[in-house]
Amino acid sequence: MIRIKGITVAFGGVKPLRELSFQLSGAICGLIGPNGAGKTTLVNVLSGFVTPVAGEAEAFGTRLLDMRPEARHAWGLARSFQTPQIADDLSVAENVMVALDPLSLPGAERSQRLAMVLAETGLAPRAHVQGRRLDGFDRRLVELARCKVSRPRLILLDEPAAGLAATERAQLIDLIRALPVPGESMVLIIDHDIDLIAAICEQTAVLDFGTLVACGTTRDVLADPKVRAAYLGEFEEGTS
Amino acid sequence: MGAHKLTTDSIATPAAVQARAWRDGLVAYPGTVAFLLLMAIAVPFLGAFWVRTFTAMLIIAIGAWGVAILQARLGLVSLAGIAMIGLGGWIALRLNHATGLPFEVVLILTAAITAMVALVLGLPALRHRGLLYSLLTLMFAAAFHVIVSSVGFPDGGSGFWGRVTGSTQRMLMPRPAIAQGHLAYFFYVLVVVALCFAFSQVMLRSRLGRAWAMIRISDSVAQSCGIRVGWARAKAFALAGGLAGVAGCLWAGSVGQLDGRSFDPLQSLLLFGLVVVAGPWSMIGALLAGFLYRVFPAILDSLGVTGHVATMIFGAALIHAIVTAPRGIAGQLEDLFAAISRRLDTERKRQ
Repeated sequence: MIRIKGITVAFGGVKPLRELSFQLSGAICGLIGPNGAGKTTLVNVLSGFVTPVAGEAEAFGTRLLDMRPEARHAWGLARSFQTPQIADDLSVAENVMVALDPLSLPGAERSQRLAMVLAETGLAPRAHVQGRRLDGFDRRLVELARCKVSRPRLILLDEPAAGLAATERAQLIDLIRALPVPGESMVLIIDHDIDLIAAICEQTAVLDFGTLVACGTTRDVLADPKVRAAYLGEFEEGTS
Repeated sequence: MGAHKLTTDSIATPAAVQARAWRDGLVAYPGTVAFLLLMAIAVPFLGAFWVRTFTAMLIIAIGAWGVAILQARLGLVSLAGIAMIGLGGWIALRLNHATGLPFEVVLILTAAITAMVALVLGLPALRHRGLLYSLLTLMFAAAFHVIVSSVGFPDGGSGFWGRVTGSTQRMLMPRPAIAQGHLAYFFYVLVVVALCFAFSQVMLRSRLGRAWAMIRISDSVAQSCGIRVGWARAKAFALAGGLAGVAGCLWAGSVGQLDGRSFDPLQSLLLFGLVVVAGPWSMIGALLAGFLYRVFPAILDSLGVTGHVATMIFGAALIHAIVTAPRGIAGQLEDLFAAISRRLDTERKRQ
């Protein structure tokens, strides 16, 4: 469960988030909104890269804002980025191992986790391939594997399916579905892709101009006239 | 996606991944090995002057490799490469004259102390990359030059500065017992270069090297992986400082005494430029930077052309590297050899 309470972010005179409050509690949840809505800013607040001027953020009862960014990884936060961030001069396995390195784990546990995540993402045959030799989909998979290997409680995926072909997208959706452990962890997907959100997210929050437009079950949210007006560009009946 | 049986035999385990990374780090640079072997075979036939010149080249290559690691692996521009070597030389001379310890012990102590000084110097820039760190290193280079120009390098005297006064005989730092002659010292330095390269490769392909790779992408990416960016960056300063310390000690051992005029801040700027031109990504780039810094001007001199012309040529080469070859000469050589290798593979398959 993630709870946002009165988050306000200010960059000089610009406020990308204004007293934002909502709560999401599904295993896989969505965060949508048009460009400039404040989605990535909120993800950066949760990751620790942006410090809000006011508000609180809790995940599974822990106050995230009290922790330094790298400490959030140890607590159990993992994230991907809009453009996959892979070190070209490291192998696939090394790119994944990076997320295990700061954790104090026994060697056997590290081995088990690495082996498992490489197998599950289908990257095992390419474990020793250098990052520079990977195509766009494999780079996405490596980032997803890196998110998963530390067994985080909260996984933030920023536009995970951007630029993927239909078959790759379907494969990615299967992998995302397998990410959360019910009751123990959750995935928050930030995306423009309504079809992706509708397909896998139990609950969804919609932002526009840094404020909440709607929050609830994905089906209800996507049927909400305010959402359709603000996000999908449709007009409510009786308006012109 | 069904349940997977956990096996560690057929796919990558962290130990296997680490072992492979180290193996790749050490053997995936045949060009560097070939370069060092070629020098070992050819330089002894070139005469005493060129033996000394190539020895100096190897010494500079160690310092250049530290500058290259900071630039390519962490995106940090160090403009104090030569000054740090000079600092290493100062520490080596001071230690040697004060303690009389064997050369090898002085070498290790110098590397350790210079590493610590580099770490302390880098502390203000731990949370920054770019201009602040570059300015800090440039200021250090200028300050070091002012100090060694006015005070000089230790020459066997007493006190902190270790300078002799009056008519007391100045002392030279002796070379290692096993490498008294010019040629023997050349081979000694060659072995130290190989050890420094191997050590740094082990670092680059370890947990710390992976952290540096993430920091190079961005601090945010590194932090999202749980990496303490400041701490990891401090270790890079220490590694580069340690390499400079080794280079400084070898330089002091090579000539017995150092002169402050050799450590003008412009020399540090020149070294950084040459690292970019030669290629900061590979060790062969560091060797080429050393070649351009010490051997190329000497070749021009031997041809009757003033070595100062080299600076103009380096300026043009720097522009060329920035515009067309961001991986430098070493990168272009690697691409060339890769293309030849592919061509040969294709021919082999046809047959």
